[in-house]
Amino acid sequence: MGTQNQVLVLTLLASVAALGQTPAPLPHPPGYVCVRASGAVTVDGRLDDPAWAAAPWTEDFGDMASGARPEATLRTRMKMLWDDRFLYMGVDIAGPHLWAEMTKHDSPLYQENAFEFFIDPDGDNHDYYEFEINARNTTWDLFLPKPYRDGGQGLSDWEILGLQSAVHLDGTLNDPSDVDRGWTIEIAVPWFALGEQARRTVPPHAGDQWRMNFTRVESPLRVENGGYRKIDGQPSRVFSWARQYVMDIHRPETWGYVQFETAAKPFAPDPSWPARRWLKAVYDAQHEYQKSRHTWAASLADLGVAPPSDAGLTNARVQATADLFQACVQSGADDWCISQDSRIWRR
Amino acid sequence: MTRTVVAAVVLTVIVPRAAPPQPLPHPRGYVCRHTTTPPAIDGRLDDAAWRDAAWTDDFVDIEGDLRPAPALRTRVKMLWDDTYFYIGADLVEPNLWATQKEHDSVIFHENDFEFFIDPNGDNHEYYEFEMNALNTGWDLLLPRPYKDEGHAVDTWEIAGLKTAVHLDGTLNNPADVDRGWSIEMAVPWKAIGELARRPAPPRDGDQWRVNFSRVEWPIQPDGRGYRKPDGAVERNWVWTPQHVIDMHRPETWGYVQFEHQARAFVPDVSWPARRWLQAVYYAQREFRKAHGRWTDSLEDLGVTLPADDGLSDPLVETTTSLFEVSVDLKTAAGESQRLHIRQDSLIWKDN
Repeated sequence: MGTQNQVLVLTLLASVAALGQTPAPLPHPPGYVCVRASGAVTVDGRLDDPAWAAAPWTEDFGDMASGARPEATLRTRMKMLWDDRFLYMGVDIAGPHLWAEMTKHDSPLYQENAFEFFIDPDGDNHDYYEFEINARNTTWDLFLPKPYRDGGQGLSDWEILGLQSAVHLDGTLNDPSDVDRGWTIEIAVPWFALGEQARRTVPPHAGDQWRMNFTRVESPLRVENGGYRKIDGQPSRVFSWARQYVMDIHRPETWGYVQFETAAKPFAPDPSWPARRWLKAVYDAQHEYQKSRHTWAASLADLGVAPPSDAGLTNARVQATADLFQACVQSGADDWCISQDSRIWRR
Repeated sequence: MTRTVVAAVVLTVIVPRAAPPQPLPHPRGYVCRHTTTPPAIDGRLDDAAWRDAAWTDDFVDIEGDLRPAPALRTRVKMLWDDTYFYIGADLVEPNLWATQKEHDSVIFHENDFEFFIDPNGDNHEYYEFEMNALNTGWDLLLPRPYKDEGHAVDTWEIAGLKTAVHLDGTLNNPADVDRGWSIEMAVPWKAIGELARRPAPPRDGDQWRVNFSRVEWPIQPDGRGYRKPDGAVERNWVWTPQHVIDMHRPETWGYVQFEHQARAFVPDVSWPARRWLQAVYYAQREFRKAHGRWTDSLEDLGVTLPADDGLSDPLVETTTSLFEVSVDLKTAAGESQRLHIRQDSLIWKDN
């Protein structure tokens, strides 16, 4: 998704941090247990392969910022499976108005109606993948060395070699004279492509968790001359699996967790989550601080951020140079850090 | 692609309290002229446009003066228009050899020609392309160098790239002596502009950091063609020397200056600051290897400020995992700049 969609909304979180109060902690993002496919998945857009029966649906997507569920006619949910070669996604998108114009690969599909996936394999907020698809099976693949907010630029000439995708339309495309039911999508993403910047094993080990989010963009439409036209100046609605809390998908820290398993297992919450959310709050506070003082704070006291209240988080600290900072916090035996470009790592 | 640094040279072995390193000479420069008559990409540099383009200096060993000059001549010409950056290369070669036919193969395992481009000279987000005498190509994008924990993006594809090879001799045939091969490439600005962080096509006077490399293996005839003997070590011949056997140090690449009109090459006024910052960067890495931490002391690093380079006010700042080194540069024209380098070799200038 382009920078246009990065609406600069001051989050409650950032504003509160700037005022020197303790921000409300973000809840743990949703998790999904992705089991191995028991058989072949034919990528034809129909989720009728027997293997899909073993895959649970995600929860219904909600508004990306507020989390509110839309009307039933705009329900979105999905399933995932994996095998040695591919990560499979099956998506079910309800919609009364099937609309897609763009047919050229690597077009900005989010400007119309689209489904999108975002994958940060190692959860460091950097080196992540984005993919968009519309109801004509037109696709756009992007690689982000780092988020736009941190000076990153999307790499559109990155190509997911060997990706398979298909859509099935339950209705009529670009035809306002009837009410459609929706569309379904099947996508097979080769581990080869996802592994290149993963900095971890592909296909994953059982129990590995990858950070992902999925969005559905729904543009405001009007009917003109028997066709759909996008209403200019009116924002699109964006629904996501994991809530982002702001209208900005390019915040990998709030994406969900996909846990890979060979058999059904419960989802295991990320034990580093309290450290991660505290570090992100420090990152937000530092960027607020920098806006007014043009320098990074060299201590938590200067920053006005309280040490983490979570049990188990200790040794919180901040260090800065003229252009760089790092904040770290100990979580059990692990020391987690974040730097000025939002990269998060375990020391 | 990554290549192990096998030679330790004066420049990289900067141990604390040792004598200051020899300052790196300014890399080679080339003035690349705009053309209104684009060359046909057929591998032959016989188009009218090429006549107006100067040859680069002959390639040298990747380690520069530390090694003998290459036995086989290699030269390049460059041109540009609003759509493409054109590269023409001429490689003298008595034994034309190439067997790899699959795109994105590890081309440098055989004889090849390579380009490296860092549009804005910040050492990060650069492009690499390798090709052989069968016109098989490998395009790569490096978010940052391997030494800075970068991973190549092999699934980056230069959309719209045109390449061609002309063989002056017989491929994979040891029975005769070949004369060489020539290459033409048209690299779309759109592709190399995506992470350029500056205009592409460039403005007149803009300089992009570029190097070219030729990998040459000692090969032997065998029954069907040539083969690489076991344990063979390749030669790396380059346009402007890297001073170590490592292409993935963009700081030593050459300067290609884009112009519509004939103009003289203008050396980079920030070069004294850049080479000093790089020296501190490598000294920090050596210090960390020995002591397990960064230091904010130039004395610890054994680095001093040269007396006559226009540099002043050095500052080294560290955190546990990061460092930043800064220095003021006063140019001959009296302009002041402050440049910085950090632990991952990113280099930048204050606006």
